[in-house]
Amino acid sequence: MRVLLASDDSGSLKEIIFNRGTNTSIKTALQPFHIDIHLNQGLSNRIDKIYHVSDSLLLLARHSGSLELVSSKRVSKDVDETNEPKYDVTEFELQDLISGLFDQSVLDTLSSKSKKKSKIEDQFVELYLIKKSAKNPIFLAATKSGNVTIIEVDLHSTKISKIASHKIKAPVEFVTLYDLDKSDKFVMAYGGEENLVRLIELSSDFKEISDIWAAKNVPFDNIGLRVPAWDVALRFLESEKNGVYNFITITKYAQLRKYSTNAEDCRPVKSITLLPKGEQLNSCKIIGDTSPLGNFQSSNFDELEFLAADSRKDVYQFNGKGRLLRKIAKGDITGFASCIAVTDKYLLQGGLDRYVRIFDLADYKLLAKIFTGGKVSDIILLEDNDLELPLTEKQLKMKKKKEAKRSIVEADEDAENEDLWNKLESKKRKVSKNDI
Amino acid sequence: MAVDELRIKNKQKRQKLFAELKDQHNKERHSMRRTRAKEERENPELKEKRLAENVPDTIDNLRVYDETMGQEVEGEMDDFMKFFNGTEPPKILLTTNVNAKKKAYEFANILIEVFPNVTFVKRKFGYKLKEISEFCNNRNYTDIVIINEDKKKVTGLTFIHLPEGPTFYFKISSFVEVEKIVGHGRPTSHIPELILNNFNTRLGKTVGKLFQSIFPKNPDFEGRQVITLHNQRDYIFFRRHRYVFRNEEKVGLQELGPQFTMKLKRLQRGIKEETEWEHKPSMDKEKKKFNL
Repeated sequence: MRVLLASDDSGSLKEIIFNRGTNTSIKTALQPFHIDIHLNQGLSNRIDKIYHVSDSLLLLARHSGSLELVSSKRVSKDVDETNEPKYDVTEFELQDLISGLFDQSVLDTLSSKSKKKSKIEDQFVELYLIKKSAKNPIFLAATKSGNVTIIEVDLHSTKISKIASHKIKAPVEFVTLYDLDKSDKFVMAYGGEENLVRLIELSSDFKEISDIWAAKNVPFDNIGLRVPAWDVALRFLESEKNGVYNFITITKYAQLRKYSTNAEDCRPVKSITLLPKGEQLNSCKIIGDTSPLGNFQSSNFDELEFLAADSRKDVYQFNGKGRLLRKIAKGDITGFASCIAVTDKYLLQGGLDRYVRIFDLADYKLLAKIFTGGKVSDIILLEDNDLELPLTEKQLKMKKKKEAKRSIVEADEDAENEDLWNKLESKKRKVSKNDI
Repeated sequence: MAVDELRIKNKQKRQKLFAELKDQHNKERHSMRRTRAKEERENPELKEKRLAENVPDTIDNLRVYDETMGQEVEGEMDDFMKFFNGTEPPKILLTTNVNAKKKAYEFANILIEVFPNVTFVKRKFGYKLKEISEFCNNRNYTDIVIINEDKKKVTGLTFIHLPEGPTFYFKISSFVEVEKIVGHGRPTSHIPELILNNFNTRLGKTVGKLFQSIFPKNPDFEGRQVITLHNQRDYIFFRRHRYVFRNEEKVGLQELGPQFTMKLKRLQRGIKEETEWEHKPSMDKEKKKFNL
């Protein structure tokens, strides 16, 4: 398996090559074959988001407000083949960058009103592909301060250029694109702390942005107090009618809210409290049949299952009815899971405890646990096949013994078969009455 | 040999015989030790060899493997980087929890003597931690230390590194006042030297760095005062001494006090934001696993 991760402490990109069963916490267990640091720029320039553009290109969103296009090249590594499997390592090289995408001044004014005790720092909250193209794919990068930048990547000349930039209301926790139909429309939803969900539409030339729908907060609670709004993640569901959008949001206060733009009052259709003791949730990743951007390919709210991490140490799995199904790696994770990524078969988790864990989504068994040395803010899985390990001396001896035994047994069997055939052929065939 | 193994039915006789046997055994042991000590005085290599061969099993040296030990720290030392790159001395604001009782103020008086460049501010109602940290940031404080008092006992210490965290919460126990330490000295206002012992894991290094960032890097050696923070099985022992060179070989120590023990309960990113590490009661079940 090969993963790339953003390591905060050194502000670097890390490549890790390992097999299933790797566990750095156990001395005698399998250890990763290769961990290497690339493009380190320090804590203040750490990588917020990674996007795998193609086999040889990566987009990195740095905490300094710059987007970097990085080329990668596989080089075979010289290893002692008797002890280690043969594998390729990746070399990275910066090709192009765009900087100055942050606007800290917006967040400075919002910091005093925020529930967060620390000053809000600008950072990239989203980086993903919005339009596929063989030559010039188009990406969206969104920041906490509400800057939405549309970028074009020239795959041939390995250059990035800014097509358009838009301003949305800050603070932004997510900007989710509706990618469940094949229309030319770019409908997106965004929200954040005291920033209720809004749907916006980006024109096909990416130059204009327009509001199409805005959510209202849930009604006052039973003692007549206003309920605080802080959506942290949003996922779309497939819509049954054209122009109607269904989606779920997860709030910081551990609520699951189901919305439909068809609803008369623009309020959530349903709001369910997921955790009873005031835990804070921070993410939402849907498991199962999802689009490339993680939206759910079904219109039924009750069918979905999703993962969410709290701000302490747990990763929970809930169903669409808001029922807790399980806790992932119960007790093993010791810090906030700042990154959860879901692929077809695997769940990747990394966090402030400086470990990367990989789970099998079929049975939630821990496949690998690796100490990375730095806090993890993003992970991508590049390869999921295991390397073939060279045999140890003991295994080689056993293999030779087995082969020798098999050859002896085969020779004996051949001889016996030959004898039997000879005997059968030498016997005179009895002549029956029918033959005459 | 136990008393029962002597198989003498008379209890008094049995006990007497056992006492004689024990005395004999002790005498043999003492004489063996005397001769061994004499041999080792003449040939110090023998002692080294003996000590190298007979290493007793302790919980400390049987500790569970931790991959973070002995590894180099990646990058600069994360959130403390700013302090280490700068030349400014640390500036600490000391306060208590809201509605603190006498014990908290007494402990604050002691900490004022321990921490250099510290300002004590009585905690008032109506100010949230966010506002306090903003005031401190505007006045160039590098750390906030909050004494947590509960039911007239000092139970914890919170260290908040400014401007962007992290936040540490330690449980406080085994507090011994200066007056109760026999033969204690009186501390001077010199900046002390700092000894950090056994902070080996990645988490331990972060904790060690917190204490390094609280005390200035340029101690007054003429004061001959040392603060020791010794970590053993995740308990951090705080001791303060003054040393004196009696001759070229011997060094004398005088304890200045106070004594207390800290245990890390929680480490959070930023100012009490997401948890980086938290102690769970289930961690205490595993006796040989240590986190610092």
